Amino acid sequence: MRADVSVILPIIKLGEEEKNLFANAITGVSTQKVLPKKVILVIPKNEEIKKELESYDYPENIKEDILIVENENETDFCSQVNLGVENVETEWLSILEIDDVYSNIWFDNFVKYSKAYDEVDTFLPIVLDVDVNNQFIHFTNEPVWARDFSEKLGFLDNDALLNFPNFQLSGSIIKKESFVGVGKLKPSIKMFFNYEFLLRMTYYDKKIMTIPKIGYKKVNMREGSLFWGYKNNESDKIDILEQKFWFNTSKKECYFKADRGIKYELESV
Amino acid sequence: MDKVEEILKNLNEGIEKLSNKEFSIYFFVIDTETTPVASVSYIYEQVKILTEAGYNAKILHEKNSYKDKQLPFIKNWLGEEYSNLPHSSIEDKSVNVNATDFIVIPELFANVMEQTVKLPAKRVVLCQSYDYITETLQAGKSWLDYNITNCITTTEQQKEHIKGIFGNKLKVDIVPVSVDDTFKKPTKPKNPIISILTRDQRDTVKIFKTFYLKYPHLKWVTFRDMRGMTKNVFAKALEESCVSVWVDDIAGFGTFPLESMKSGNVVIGKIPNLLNGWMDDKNGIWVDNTNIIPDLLAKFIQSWLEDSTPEEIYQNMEETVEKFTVENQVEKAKEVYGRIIEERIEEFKSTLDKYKNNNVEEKVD
Repeated sequence: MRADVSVILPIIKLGEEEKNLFANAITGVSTQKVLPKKVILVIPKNEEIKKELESYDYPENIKEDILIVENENETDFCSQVNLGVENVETEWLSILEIDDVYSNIWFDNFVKYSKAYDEVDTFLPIVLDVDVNNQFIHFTNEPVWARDFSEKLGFLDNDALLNFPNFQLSGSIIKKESFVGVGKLKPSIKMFFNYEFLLRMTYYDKKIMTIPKIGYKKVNMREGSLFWGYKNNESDKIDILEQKFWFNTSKKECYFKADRGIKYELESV
Repeated sequence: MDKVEEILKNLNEGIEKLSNKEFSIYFFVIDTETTPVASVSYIYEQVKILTEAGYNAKILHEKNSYKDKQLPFIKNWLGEEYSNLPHSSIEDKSVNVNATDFIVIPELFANVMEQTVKLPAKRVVLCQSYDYITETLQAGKSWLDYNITNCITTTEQQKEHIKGIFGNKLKVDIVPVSVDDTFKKPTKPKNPIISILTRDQRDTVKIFKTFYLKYPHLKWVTFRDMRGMTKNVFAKALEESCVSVWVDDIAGFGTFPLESMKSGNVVIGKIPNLLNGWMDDKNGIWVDNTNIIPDLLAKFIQSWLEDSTPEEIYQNMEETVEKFTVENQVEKAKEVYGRIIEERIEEFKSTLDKYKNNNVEEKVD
């Protein structure tokens, strides 16, 4: 049996470090107790990356399920994911970041929980956040199981999210129809695009539940990662004022399904 | 009719009544003042079993007020099939106890055993909690001193303990506790909730506070104190949770861990002072020190979050709880009460024989 899920793995570049990370991420998919149906690798228009991934020695059990999609336009994280979603033919999709890894029980639990909770549009995993040395930092997505955190135990709602924004979308399994229905990820939103998307999902009454199982391991602040770049890369750096701007903007923009191409303006903070 | 003839007639009638189930079995219960108590639920279960077996079994309570407050609570807690069982009040003085009747008295009530010593009925002690045996018993007094020679308990270990105290003159039978189908595995996956039941509520507080202090990354895991719930709510709460914690040093049987097992919960429990016969090293996580429960709980929660709890423990739990079926309890209850009634008939017959023989000798003289 396979889970009716397509994994979307956006790849921006593929240096030596990314190749190792990619191998880990792929192993994490192939060692699932229940496998997903498809793995969609979204890459920039780059012959070298394409060649590398086409000739990669994929594990036998997922070899036939790999789809490589080239993005000829913007290759930011959100655009890569959105293009991946366009190629999804399964009912559900899941976003896998290159430096992260699924736990082997994740899709098995998705199957169990999606049968039991057929009203749910997004299943978040409990994320095991580790540092670059693989040391435990904290869990993420778990607070919904704390008493009185949200209206319904285990579920994330708009009010709870407005009070506590620290939820992660990577690793979660989302109904394609719902993802597209609320307008996909917004590439114009920096840093808080996950938050804005979750706010939008809950605002449009999409049901979000955390499966109380460790389903995803996330490496925090790996050098060269997107969020490391927000803090350390001169070209991508986002200072505290801009962070506040994007945070507040997320709360305002979540009412709109379309990406309205918001740009950072200092005076509007 | 002379006195001997009258006695002979009464004895014959008594034998007939006993043989035809034309007598009452009164089960004395305490008014728990609307608090669910497992031992009271066991007594109601006995009355239900015997009623269904065609006996005239009744709940015997002390005050008339029981019907106003406690009975609606019983209905809510255990259900209508229990609250509708026959009830009699001592206070309204309508209870007419005969030599063919039986009074079943919980072990705690040595005062009731003493007060009822002159009643003609056969009295039986129902001992669910060995720890309460000497609670109200006068120093130097035994149940045998109150002419009580039969006792019913719930485990082999309690039986041995009771015999060790009162000696072999006391006949001790076992009617085990059952875990009925109100307790079942959930249809939905379980939640990260800990069901906790401790005899001393301070243990509950100590365990969850220590757990949250030592394992702050698990602060989101909810503890649910299982006190004071109706049976259905209690069963539902067990279904939803993923693990149970149990501390009860003086437990005679341990219904809560078995109900937890039937609901699919691994139990982390303190080994009680008296073993209960069903605990082994494979059907739960049993410790002899309450202080390590928060640590074991954290380890268990971690393994549950990773789906790495050994499957073997769940299989052993199932095998353990399978032994405590309602059918088994019904069968044993019928057998034990049936035997006590048979013994009563034999007592009547033996007395009858004595009178007949004495009578013959008198005539000869």
